[in-house]
Amino acid sequence: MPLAFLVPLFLAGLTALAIPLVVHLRHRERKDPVRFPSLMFLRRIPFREARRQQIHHWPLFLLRLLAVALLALAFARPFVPEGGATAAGADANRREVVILLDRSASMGAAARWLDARDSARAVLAGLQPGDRVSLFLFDAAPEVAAGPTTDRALVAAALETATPSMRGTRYAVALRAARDLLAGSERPQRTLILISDFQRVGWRGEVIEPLPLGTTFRMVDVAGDPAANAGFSEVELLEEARTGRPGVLVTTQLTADSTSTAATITLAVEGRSVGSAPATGARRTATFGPVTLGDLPARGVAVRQPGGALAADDTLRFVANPPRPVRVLLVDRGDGGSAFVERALAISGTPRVEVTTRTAPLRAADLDAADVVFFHDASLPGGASGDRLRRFLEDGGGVVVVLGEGTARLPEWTGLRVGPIVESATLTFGALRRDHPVFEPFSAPGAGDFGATRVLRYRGLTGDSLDVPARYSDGAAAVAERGVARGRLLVLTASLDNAWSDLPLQPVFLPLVHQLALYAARHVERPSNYVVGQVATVGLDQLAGNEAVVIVGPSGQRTRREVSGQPLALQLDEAGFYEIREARAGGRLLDLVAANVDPEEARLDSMDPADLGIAAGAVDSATAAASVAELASSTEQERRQGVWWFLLAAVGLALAAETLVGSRIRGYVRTMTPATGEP
Amino acid sequence: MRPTGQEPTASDFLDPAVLATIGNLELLARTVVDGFLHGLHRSSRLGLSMEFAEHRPYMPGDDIRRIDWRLYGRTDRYYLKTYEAETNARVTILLDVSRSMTYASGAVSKLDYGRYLAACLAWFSARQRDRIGLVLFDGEVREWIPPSTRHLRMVLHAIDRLVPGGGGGVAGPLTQVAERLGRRGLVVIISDFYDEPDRVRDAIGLVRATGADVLAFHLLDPAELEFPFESASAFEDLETGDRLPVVPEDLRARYRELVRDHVGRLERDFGANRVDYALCDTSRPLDYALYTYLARRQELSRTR
Repeated sequence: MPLAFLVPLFLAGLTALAIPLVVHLRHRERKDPVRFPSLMFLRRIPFREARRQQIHHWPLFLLRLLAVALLALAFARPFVPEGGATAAGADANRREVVILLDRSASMGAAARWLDARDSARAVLAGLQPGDRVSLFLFDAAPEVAAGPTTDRALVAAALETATPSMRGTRYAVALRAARDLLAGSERPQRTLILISDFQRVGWRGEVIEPLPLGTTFRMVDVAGDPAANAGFSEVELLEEARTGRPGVLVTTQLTADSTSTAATITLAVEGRSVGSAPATGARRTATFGPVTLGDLPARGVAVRQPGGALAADDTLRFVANPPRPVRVLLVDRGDGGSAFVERALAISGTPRVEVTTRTAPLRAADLDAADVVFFHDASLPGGASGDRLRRFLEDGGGVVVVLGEGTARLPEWTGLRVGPIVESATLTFGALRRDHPVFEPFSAPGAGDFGATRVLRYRGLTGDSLDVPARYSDGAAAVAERGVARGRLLVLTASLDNAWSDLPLQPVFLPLVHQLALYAARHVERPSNYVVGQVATVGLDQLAGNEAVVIVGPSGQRTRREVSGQPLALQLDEAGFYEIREARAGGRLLDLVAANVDPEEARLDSMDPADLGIAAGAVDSATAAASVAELASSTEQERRQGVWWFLLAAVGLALAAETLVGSRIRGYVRTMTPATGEP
Repeated sequence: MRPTGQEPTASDFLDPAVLATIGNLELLARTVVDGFLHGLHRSSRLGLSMEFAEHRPYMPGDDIRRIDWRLYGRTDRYYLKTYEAETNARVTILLDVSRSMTYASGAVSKLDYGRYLAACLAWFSARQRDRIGLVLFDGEVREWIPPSTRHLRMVLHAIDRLVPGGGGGVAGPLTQVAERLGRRGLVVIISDFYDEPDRVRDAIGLVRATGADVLAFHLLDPAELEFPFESASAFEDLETGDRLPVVPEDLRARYRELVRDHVGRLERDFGANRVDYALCDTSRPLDYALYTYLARRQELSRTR
């Protein structure tokens, strides 16, 4: 391997090789003489001049010469000329290329996807042999489609099979993934190519780590000319109460697109068009209704507004479930003590609360038409009615017991023991667990002032496995919960009749009573539609126990799932309706889930790609290319000139060996002669 | 080596390195000798001869045989000669103060060692009621204190304030001493004997010819015996200032051989002249030298 020197002048330092020799020869003259009593005997020894000039310790002498020679060579900075670079070095010149290809729903607009693929193909065609390339497809999340590989055919095949998804755009996560891959590469030249429509909604100003130094960041904008597009931003369903039949009013709103003019929206139920209306007003809304839903558990409804650059957002699908009120059975002693509770429950919005009042004792038949039973200062039934109430709870029903004068004890199966009445003039609500679902409406800072409530009397309550989300200021339980199989048993230890406490007069009373009812009834508000990529949770209460269901996707794909009393989690990968049916042949429809393209994808306006480049810490392409060239050049130079490091290390080793040999020689001499001056 | 924390014992004071810390030479000599004699049998008083001390006027009742008639003839008065008890030894210590004696590879130079030894011998002899004399010499005799029982302090003082002299062999001053020695006695020579053995032998023969018993202490530094030098250097003669480039490891063996020969030759020659010879390594305690002296002193008393 030929060697050249960057600073050959330092080779003159090789003359320093004479230094150890000269030092050796002149060593004695320079030293202070050793005073000795008499040279009488020394003079008698034949003196040989040749002995004085003789090198006695050749290893020591050679090591010193070697150290000086290596030092001179190191300072001369030897390097391997460019022609002498190895094949491995040539490989190191190849690039690490990452192609980030946007496949979000907005890329389906106009010819963006075709342009994007053409750009990606052009990038692949422009690669040098030995370049390593990776293809990332990204929407809301990045996915490695191919690579890192030097096989361009592999990447090209992955590119041909790629299609736009129905998901939104997140540039930050894609850039982070690409950055991580580039940072882990050992290749000095790195290139990142982002092919996208640079949709503004895809960038939320996230902070991302800068790309590795010297990375060339190229951005290929395939947005084309500004395109007019309008999508649905939201839909609202209101229960139609005027007709007395199950039905909903549909109000939908279009995204405000200044380029679109008048738009007509069509409503379709179960695939059949049932009417159309223009989008009017500043908010471009249209209202349909009422839509009769009949006896079906859910109906698939869609609003359409054809036209616009993006076809995927022309339809908004949603599920209209028949409005189902929360049925509350209020049981009291018939003394009007539950008036406050009754009035509070009667004032309901969505969902609607239906209240039925009964005077104790409770009859078993009353439970058939109830989701929740409120016992206000009324004793729980025993005997057959008591067993029926217990089964009601175990099957998932809810029971709220408000203790008062008339509830001195609770049935044994509740596992709760009621104590005597405690009276106090200074009591109020103390510790409140606002993360408990009953108090969730009051979880916002400053919401729900329970401290203003004065509590005069309450009953003590104890029991096993008791969850106490609220306590009085003396630490006693104010609200307690105990799960009974699938049901929820809630106990309030002070009556709500304005006699034991002034809670009914407080602003928190109405939302608290509503929340008690909804929580006990296990009521969950489910969205009418989801965005592709989300996971829908479907509670299949209709199923008695462990049964199988079949999920039929929008594309007709059928998936069998076992249900064991738990809500069904459904990953939504396509836009359209997902049907959940009984697994048996001709099984009835159990539920319906609608999935749509991310509404934000309807906003096709683009951002300036430079903003993204700056955020990613990349310089402009020309500068980046130059810096990469410099970096590659300097890195290569450093590699070729790295010999001097090894030479310096060798100098260190030679000096260490010299010290070792020297000390051994001196040690040998010491052992030869006894120490002087010792008694 | 004495463990730390213990009181020094008398034998510790025989260590030249310890002695070097004692400034007062008389104290040093007394300490060493007392410590050395501690545990030895006290030697019997040697001889009963009398030595004139002074004249005193005759008093009635005095022995008329002790009247000095010569003095009566000169002064016409009666005086009695008084005598003091006299030991049977005249000890003359010859201390070499040449420049070569100043060499020290450790804490104590040969000259210091010689001073301690001379002081100790003087003190020791004084305890035995010997008469003490001192001769300091380098190439020639520098100072001469004739032996006397009253010269102890003078001797110690001379040893204490001595200044190293120049160079020169031992034979010259020994010849001078031989010429001036009056009566027979004990001559103690303390020197490094850097001279040709033949010349030393001849000079010693002259001293012996005066009837004196001779005891020679040959002081050598450990470095002179072992030549432990490592690096090649120029060696400078302390007496002449001459320099010689030396590669110690080459010359070491030969040098040791020459020193051994020299010592052996001296020992043989001294033995032939019935001169007691003791080679003293200055790193070793003084007791060896003192034993040598004591043994010789006792032998002397037996032959008398």
